[in-house]
Amino acid sequence: MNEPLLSVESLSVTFATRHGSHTAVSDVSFALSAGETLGVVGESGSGKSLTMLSLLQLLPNGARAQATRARLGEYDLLDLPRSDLDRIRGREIAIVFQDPLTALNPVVSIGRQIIEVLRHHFKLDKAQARIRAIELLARVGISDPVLRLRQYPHEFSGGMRQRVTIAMALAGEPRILIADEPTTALDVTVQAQIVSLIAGLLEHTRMGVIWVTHDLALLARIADRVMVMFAGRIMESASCEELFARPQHPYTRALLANLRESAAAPGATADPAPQGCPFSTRCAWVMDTCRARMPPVGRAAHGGQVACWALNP
Amino acid sequence: MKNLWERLLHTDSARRGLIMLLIMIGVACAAPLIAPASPDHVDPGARLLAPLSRSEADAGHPRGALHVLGTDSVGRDTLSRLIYGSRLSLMVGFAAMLLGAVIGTLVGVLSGFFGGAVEAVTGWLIDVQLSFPFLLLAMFLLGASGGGELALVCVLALATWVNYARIVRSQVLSIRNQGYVEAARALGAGVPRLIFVHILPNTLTPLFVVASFSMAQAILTEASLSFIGLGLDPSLPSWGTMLNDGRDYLLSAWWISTMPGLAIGFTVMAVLMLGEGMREVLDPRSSP
Repeated sequence: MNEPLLSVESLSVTFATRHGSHTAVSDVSFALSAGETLGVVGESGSGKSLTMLSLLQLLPNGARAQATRARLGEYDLLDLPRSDLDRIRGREIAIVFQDPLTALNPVVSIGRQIIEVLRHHFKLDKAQARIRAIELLARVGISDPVLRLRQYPHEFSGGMRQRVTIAMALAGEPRILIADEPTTALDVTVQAQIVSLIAGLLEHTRMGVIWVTHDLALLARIADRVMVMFAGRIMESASCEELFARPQHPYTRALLANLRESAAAPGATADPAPQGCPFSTRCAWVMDTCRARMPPVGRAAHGGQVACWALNP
Repeated sequence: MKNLWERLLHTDSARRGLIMLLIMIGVACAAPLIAPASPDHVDPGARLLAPLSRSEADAGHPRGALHVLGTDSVGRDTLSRLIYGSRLSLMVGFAAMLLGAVIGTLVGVLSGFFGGAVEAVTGWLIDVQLSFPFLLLAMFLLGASGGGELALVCVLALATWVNYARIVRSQVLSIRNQGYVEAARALGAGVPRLIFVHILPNTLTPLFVVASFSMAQAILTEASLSFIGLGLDPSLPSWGTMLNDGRDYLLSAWWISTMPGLAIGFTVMAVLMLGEGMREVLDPRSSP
């Protein structure tokens, strides 16, 4: 394996509130190589989106990210001068957001929005940028791109808008594409189209992809590696085949059982224990140690990693 | 934008307002062509003539000049002064609206976008402006600067910028948290691009409405300042100065003040109708 594109070690995100600080993400480490697709799965509030936003310094006000290491090539992502930040956003790392209905400016034509991104990252004149924009729209499967370029977001359907946002994300030819639940807001048939579109676009590139979702079944189709998050921590990570074949962590097992039987996972929503393992309130294997201390991330039987006292005593 | 125009033209009040305003602008532009006499032509023999009367016959006018709207205390033709006055009144109103819009929008955008200290300072500025009696401020500034069109425009802009600043600020506060602003930021857009491409165009529509109401306000304020003798040079033909000229003759020669008053009413109504129509079109609940 060559040097990873992106490597993150011990990332944490904390919110400063009136009642003291609240840790939303803690001790998250992962690496991404060129051409690899990393799936990040977790329920709402598990910190998966915050982790991604922190890499581009897009955290909401009051949130702070810290890490012992967050490197992308020569850049230290959490300590960037302003000028580098504008260069990295969209050019090195691009994000496709969840809701295509709000991700496009309603009063600016599609063409202008794409051209703005192109001209920000490359030295192009208007005509060249326009040609590139038409190519991009064609690449994401929008028919009649010359006409569509002049249209406004309200003239596009949800799926078409998501194609446009993908075109905008690809405009900077980023090395890493973060897809933050890009299909959640779309209906099922369109979801499948968008997934195969992105998969098709990636086939011949060396782009690294981080796909954030709460849909484990989706990751089974597209991911090389899967990272399972719960309450801001990594519970388990492994190659895609291993994770589905031999899930280790009780949370992952519950998720997979859930998929097969479409039954509710035991316990309510994430209500993490104040200390110890956040899953201990819902875990079938819970022991006294779990409630006292958070288990470290250790090696797992399937070659990946897992954080569980029952598996790594 | 094209769609906006079409819908605007299909709104009764906006269409009427627009037509009335275009008539006024046409009159102002064509003043030298349509005015029957020079606005400054003094005819001592034709003082305080009632509307539709004729002056004494002279060499230029064998049957005497017809004064459709009468003459003032020094024999100047009221209609001609009214026509020329529209130039100054419209221009001052428009310039004041533009200046107020630029200042107010700038303050509103900065305050809404950056928040924190910038917002505190601008909020403080707005409060100071609002807590000061405007007429007092206008008298002080016009007195200190010696008056003139430029000073008047500045003072009028001072009276209206707060309207823009407040509405733009509230717009920006909601727009800056929209998905597309974050998405643009995530793709590398810097602050100027965020403001000019993504935020400002979204504030334009309510801004148009405020602008039309502010222009009406500016025209009225100009007239009242000129009426109390603080606005424009009294010898210049403007509606406000004409009102002032006729003050002493309200009972004996009513037309001197009444005619510019009607012109002001007409113009303000045109602008307000346009603004009302815009509000109707731009209100999402009323869209078809």
